[in-house]
Amino acid sequence: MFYYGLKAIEVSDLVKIYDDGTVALDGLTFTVEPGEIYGLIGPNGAGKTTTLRIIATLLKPTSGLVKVLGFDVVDQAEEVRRIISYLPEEAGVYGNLTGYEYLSFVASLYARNEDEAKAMIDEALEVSGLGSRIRDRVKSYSKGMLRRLQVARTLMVKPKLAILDEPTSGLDVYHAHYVRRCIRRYVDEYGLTVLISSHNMLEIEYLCDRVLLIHKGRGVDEDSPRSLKDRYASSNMEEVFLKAVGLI
Amino acid sequence: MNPLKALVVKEFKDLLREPQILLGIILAPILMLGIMGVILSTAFSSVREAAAGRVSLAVLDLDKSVYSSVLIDMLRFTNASIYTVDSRSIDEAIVEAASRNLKLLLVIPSGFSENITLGVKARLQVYSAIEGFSLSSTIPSSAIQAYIVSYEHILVYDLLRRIAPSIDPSFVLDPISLDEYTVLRGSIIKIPPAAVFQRLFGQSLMLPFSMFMVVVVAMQIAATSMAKEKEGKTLEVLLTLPVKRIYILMGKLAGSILIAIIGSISYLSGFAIYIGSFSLIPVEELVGLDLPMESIKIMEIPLQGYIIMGILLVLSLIAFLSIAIGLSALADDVRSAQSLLGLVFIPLVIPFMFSIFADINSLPIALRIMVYAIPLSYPILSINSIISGDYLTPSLGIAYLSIFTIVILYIFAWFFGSEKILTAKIRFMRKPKVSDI
Repeated sequence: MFYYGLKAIEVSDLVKIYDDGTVALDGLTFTVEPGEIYGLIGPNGAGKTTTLRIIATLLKPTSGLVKVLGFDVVDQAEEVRRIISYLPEEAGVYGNLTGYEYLSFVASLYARNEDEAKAMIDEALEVSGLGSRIRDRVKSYSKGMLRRLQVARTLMVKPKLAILDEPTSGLDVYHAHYVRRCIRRYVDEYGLTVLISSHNMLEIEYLCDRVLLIHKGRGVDEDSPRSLKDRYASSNMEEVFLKAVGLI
Repeated sequence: MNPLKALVVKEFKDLLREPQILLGIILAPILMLGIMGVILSTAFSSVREAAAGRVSLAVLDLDKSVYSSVLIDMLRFTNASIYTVDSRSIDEAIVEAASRNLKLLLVIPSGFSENITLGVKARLQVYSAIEGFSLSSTIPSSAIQAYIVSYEHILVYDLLRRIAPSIDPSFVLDPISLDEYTVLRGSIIKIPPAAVFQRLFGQSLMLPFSMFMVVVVAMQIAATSMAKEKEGKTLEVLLTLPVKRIYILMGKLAGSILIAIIGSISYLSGFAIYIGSFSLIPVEELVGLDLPMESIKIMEIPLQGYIIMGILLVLSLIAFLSIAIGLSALADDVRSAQSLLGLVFIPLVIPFMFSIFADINSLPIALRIMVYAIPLSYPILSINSIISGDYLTPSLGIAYLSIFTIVILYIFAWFFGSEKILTAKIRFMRKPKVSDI
């Protein structure tokens, strides 16, 4: 499959209203280029997770258009799922499986043959850094180990688009740094596109090529972290956001 | 790997290793019922051994006559071990018997012989010393009753020989011979209905029970499987994996059915050990004749019967497990899912109860329609229909159940394909948490 000339993500006038009337997204528009690390930042309730879930084909838009490498997330959801890998903020793993069994299960759904599956698992073993603990039941893992396993699971399949919601949540400084380097390496080596949502502004600045500021379901501003800081004459992204929404 | 196979293997491993399922559904039934069965079987065999053994009793002969001597000689001639006491009163005799560790005292009162000679009912007294309430405590007195019946026959033979030598004593004792027949599926079998029922016990009770068990256990497992996805927050990732949503539903159905079959085998094996401990008397022994092969064949469910029941069971499993999975997707955790499932168990119990305790055809028409409206009625009630040679009800059942299952699958395939699988909750008024947006 050739994706030349296509946008990695196209979101146009996206609206999401839940059954109870809550307006989560109110005309959100942005595009992400292939090979880019694109960040969504905003307070709780701004619509970041809803956006990620719609792109990951979990939720359906109320109106608007969302495409991943040309595939419509509603009409071509199965095609979209073949090229994405999603890491939710609170992602669980089947506690009765071992880490290895979990990785094998996921690899078997993506890989075309056993060699490819084995290569994916080997990648994941390296990324997770779980060593011999990979053969233990997942229920015996610490929160940090679980997160590393999930990050490894997301990256090992080398998706066209990785959707990461708070990827380093629950990780200590050392492992958070390690995971960020892994994400960066995958983008550089394999040309992945990454859509990331994070409250960690340091992470956003370190990883993202461009950032979208979201407030009340709408995009407020968009640019590289450096340009945004310059534009709002701010020393950090927190200040950028607060100035952009007119809170300071 | 085939995605469906990968999903089934994942479900199977994850469920089988769940302590609640491994202990509660697979290990506990065979261990508990098995141990109970072994205990009961040991108790029954000790009772049988006691019954087959020599009965020891003390005899107080206050009559000292010909008839009393014949009775004592007859007891000696059979398997009884006799100790004659020479006490003057019954109280003394009881004490003496107890001192010799004898639990039974047979008293032949004075006038015993005279009454028999005069044609008046004679009396005997048996005193049994009971020390506990075990199964074997009543065996010795039952053995004495059997000896007394034999003695009565000797008396009748003797009496008739003297007063009416031309009459056959066996005719007087048993003047009518009753031959019982059962008509089953248009064939006549020379066996009493009670014996046929006993023979069919395994089919008419155990089969519905097995089906009921498989469906109930599989539903619990399927509901646990789905609720665990939500409770363990694994559902979001699962739904974004490159696999058809219908495969996820099918993987859960297949994984749950596999575990349910293992659980049911465990339960039924335990149940078989438990039932086996009662050691039911074989029909051949009960009717006192060797059954011809044709009779045994008629009493068995034909192969096509099993095939029909298998189809009905598979259709029911798909429909009911889809309902269980769909319902549990509305719950936040395993416990809530199990509570929701309680609602579905009610229609499951109704046909099961009728299949065992009542004849569906004898019910008022409104109640009959209600029972036939429940899809699971068909596999259970079909067993009795097939035994009695009626294939119309099961065939209608297959048609009805197929439509029901297709409709249910269509609904739940849509449910799995939509975002409702993630967002629908049984608490309909709940607003999404801010962090969810």
